[in-house]
Amino acid sequence: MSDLVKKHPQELVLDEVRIGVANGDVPANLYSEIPCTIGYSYIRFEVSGNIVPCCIAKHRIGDIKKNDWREVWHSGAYESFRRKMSRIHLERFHLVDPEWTFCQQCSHVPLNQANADLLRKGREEEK
Amino acid sequence: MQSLNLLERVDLEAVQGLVYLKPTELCYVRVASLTKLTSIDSVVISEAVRYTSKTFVSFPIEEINNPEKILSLLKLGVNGLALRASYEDKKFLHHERRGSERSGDLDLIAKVERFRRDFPSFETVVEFQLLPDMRILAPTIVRLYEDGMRWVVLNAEGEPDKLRISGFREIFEYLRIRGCSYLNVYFPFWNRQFREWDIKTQNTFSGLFEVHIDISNRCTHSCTFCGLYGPAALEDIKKDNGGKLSSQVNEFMKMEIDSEHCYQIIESLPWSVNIVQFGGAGDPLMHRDAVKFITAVRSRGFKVSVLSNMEYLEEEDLLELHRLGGRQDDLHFIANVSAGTPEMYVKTRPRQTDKTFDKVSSVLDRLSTLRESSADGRGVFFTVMCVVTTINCQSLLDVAKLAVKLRAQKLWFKPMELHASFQAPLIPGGNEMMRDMARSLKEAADYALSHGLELEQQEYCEQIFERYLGEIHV
Repeated sequence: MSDLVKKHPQELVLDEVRIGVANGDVPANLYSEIPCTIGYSYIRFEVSGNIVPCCIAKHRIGDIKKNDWREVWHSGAYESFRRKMSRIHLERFHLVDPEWTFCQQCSHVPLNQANADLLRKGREEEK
Repeated sequence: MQSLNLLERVDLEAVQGLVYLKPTELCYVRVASLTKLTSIDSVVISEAVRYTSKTFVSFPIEEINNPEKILSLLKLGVNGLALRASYEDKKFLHHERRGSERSGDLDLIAKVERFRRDFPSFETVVEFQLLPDMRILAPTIVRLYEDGMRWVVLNAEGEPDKLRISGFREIFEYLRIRGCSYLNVYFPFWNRQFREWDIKTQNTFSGLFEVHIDISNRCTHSCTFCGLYGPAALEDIKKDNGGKLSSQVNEFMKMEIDSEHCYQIIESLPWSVNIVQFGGAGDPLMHRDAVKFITAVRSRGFKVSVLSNMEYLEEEDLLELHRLGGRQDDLHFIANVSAGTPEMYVKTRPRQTDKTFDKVSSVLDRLSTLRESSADGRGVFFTVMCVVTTINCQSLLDVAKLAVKLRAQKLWFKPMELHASFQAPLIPGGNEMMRDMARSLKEAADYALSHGLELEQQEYCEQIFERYLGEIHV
């Protein structure tokens, strides 16, 4: 396990991330607790026509100049993104894998939190 | 919005069938029976037709043999019919008792096909009343899709439970594998848990909630914190190309979304969408069709959010935007001002003059005046945004005073984003500067809150206060 993962979440906020920088307001431990469901609730279209599953993701999945966005939205590539992100809180890859560190600058916290609350609903009652 | 009158004028609880309304766009009226239409049902249908661009009426599929009633709906101006197929108590699936489960499905498909052929003027929807295990529906839906059906309502009642969640997930997986990309599958709009159903069942056939469309990379401003048009950014970009902008960068800076593509996206969004945000690497309002895009989104009943420097709007645009506005966040601009005085404005944007500051202030003031002059208080609302940098971090109170003066709804002190090393000098740092900034931020936050403004991203302010002033609460 890397040093980053071992650190207490609060230390991550204060030490690794400077206050005043974009991610200073994002609890770095957030995606240790909840999954990212942005792939079901959000889509971004870039000026160029590229389709991006998250506003800061580096992954371009499809192009509206080539395909209708709904074909891209239901594609295997998009589904892979959704599945990967739904495991973020279990695997915490955003803390160690350079390909996914952009998640530490997440700007979709409110939407993901709202979705997580919906997902949690009922489970606690079952318990 | 005119259509909202419908909600205000009809006592929804008193209507048996019930109505779902997406402002201006869609009204879905469920009636218990088409042949025994009640007077209140008729009133609701007429009102729906009057105030929304699309009205759908849902009734039991058994009643499709009543062409006179159906044609009377057409005369009323109803656009779509939802055929309610009840699987409860096997009423529909097996009611003709042909001996196998499939016979019921085939019967349904045949009925829908015949109906669509006989009444081509209507958009047809199938609304399934569901069995506890509804997975048997998946092939039927695929078959309907292949015959041209584009939307289905799965009438799941109550709260999602484990069994039904896994059943729906299997259905959606099946539909994805079968390539039903253009299908919309809605959980009942009238079920308050429909968002919970969407997210728990991983419904990609609706459930999309936020859409971000970048429409323009063009901008005439020179915000110091901008990663593309800021002076430091431009220097950084040029240094690898002999002091000039490369043709690739030049081309990128001129890029705008193709209008037809943008309209296609807007028109094809599912009704589950809550908000469409317009943005770009530049300013979205630089796009010549920006206001038309906003019109298109508003006419579909979605909320709109636009991040802009607010310079490029003229009086006719403001009147049109005011017309499109509504309550609270229906049409909301995030005005990137980042200064409270003309002097600071010019410091944060070296290529602009105080005239630009005056223009932006007058645009925002005009939007507030229009809103305040409307009898119902509807119109355009906006947030004054201030990116906090080393340049403006000690004069944040001025920004708060400006926001109050312009009657903003919210004030947003946004932390400076660090995407590249050249932006580092703009990020406030060092104990002395941070303490001064914290004091300025505290004054600004207190002033804004005491004048009734909301603070966006309040936790950022609280972090600063906690660390540098030893206080937590704003």
